[in-house]
Amino acid sequence: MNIVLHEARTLAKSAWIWAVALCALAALYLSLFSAIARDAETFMAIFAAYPAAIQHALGVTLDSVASLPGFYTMVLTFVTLCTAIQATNAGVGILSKEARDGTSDFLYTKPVSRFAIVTSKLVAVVLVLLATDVVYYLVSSFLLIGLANAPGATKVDPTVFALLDLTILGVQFMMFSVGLAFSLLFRRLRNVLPVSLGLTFGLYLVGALMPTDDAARWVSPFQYFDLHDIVVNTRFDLGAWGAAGLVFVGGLVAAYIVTLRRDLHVR
Amino acid sequence: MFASQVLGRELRAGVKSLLIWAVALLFGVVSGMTKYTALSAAGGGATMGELMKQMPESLRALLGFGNLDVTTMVGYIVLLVLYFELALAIHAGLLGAGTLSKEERLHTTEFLYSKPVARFAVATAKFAAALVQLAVLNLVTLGATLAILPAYNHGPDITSQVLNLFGGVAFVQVVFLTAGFALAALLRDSRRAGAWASVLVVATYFLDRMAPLSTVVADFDVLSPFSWFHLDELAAGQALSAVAMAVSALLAVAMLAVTLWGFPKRDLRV
Repeated sequence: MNIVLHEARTLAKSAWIWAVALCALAALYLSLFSAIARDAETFMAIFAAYPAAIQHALGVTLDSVASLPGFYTMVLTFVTLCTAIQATNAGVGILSKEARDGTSDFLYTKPVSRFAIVTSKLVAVVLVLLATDVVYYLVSSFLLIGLANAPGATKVDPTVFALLDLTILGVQFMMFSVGLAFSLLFRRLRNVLPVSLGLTFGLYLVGALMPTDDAARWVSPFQYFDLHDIVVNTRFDLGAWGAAGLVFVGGLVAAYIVTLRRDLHVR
Repeated sequence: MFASQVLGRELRAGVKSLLIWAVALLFGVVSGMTKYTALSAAGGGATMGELMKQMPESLRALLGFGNLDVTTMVGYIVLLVLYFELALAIHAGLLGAGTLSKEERLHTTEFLYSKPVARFAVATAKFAAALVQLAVLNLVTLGATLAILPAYNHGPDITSQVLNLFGGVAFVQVVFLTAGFALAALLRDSRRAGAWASVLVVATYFLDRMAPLSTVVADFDVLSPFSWFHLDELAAGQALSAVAMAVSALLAVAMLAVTLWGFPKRDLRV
């Protein structure tokens, strides 16, 4: 319990900055929605006169910009990226920090099993990530429902927003696990930030630049959830969540296996 | 004599991470180019470009196209360079902050700074080492882009535009490198410098990307180094803006001066 509290307190210092930044980012983008939606409506008229092939190539994206859920998927891309950075950073840092700070002997000689130490650390990260999400969920649903209920706006089923927001959690927990697993490859990891930023932006780019066929989709956590599908069908994608769960659990299992057996680095 | 040893030591220490960054960027170049085939095929050439011109600016910005015609090779290259620029800028910021702050992070402060060499000289050597790594990464990305270009480009030769684009990126890199150095030199807890440097890079990047969406944001766009070189104009064949070059160079020199002035005075963490 002491370890959970200590780690949670350390992480909380930056978590509230993350939460505020995420809410500000979403608020900034959402404040632009009505102007952009108007532009999109005008353009759709011009767009309709073009050949079907071209409409098809761009159509899906354009169509969705004019609607609030569609617009929100674009905002969500950035929000997801930010929360993923936070989560990966926590994942890479949490178990590697004792070796880096030379505190392995201090912590691991306490009368607490390694299993309990690893569990406490993981619980602390999960709690802090959840807390960040809860703050963002509250603020974003407030903004979104406000926009959806504005005079003249098209009514939107709030379930769509809930399902969309939930994907943040999925990506976050996967990236936490990826970062955690990656940090296990080093006996002493000297610098966390380049590793976590590299992992996040690397996987994000891979997701953005790879062809999105069925197999390639599972390479990057950023492609697991099909936001467009959620907007159109209001569907909870059990397959994607199952795969995300596997990635998450896989990283945790690796963390236990490696840390329980490792010859720890002592200064 | 000793300062050159610091330079050599820093260069050797940076090889591994430089290799990882280079591989990541090479992968970005290759996979990015592969996607061009899909985009240009779907577009159907001229009609697509014409349609893009009629699209309102806010929409184009939102879709990430800006003022570019992404169905032409050079327009698409700019789209990729926008990604590379972000990656290279983050690398630069982290490198600057990390190079100067690493002794404090790794508890080697006493070892290095008790050697008979001025902190000024150490900082200068570290800066030189970082500058070399910065240049290598830029040149690797540029080289890869130029090498792969002929396989996809069926239009006119765009080598000079690509050179200009990466030239603009180089200035942005140097600005963020010196910003990282200045942060590491001035912050009392320099181990936080890397985090602040990346916040600076990401925030200014988003500022520039959001500017076309809103006039309020656009007013602040000039604060972002990413806005100083207009990539779309470079792609259209214009030369690098003299004002932008002068501003970035002056800012970089100023931040380097702050580093070399402030770092020898700071109480180092041991």
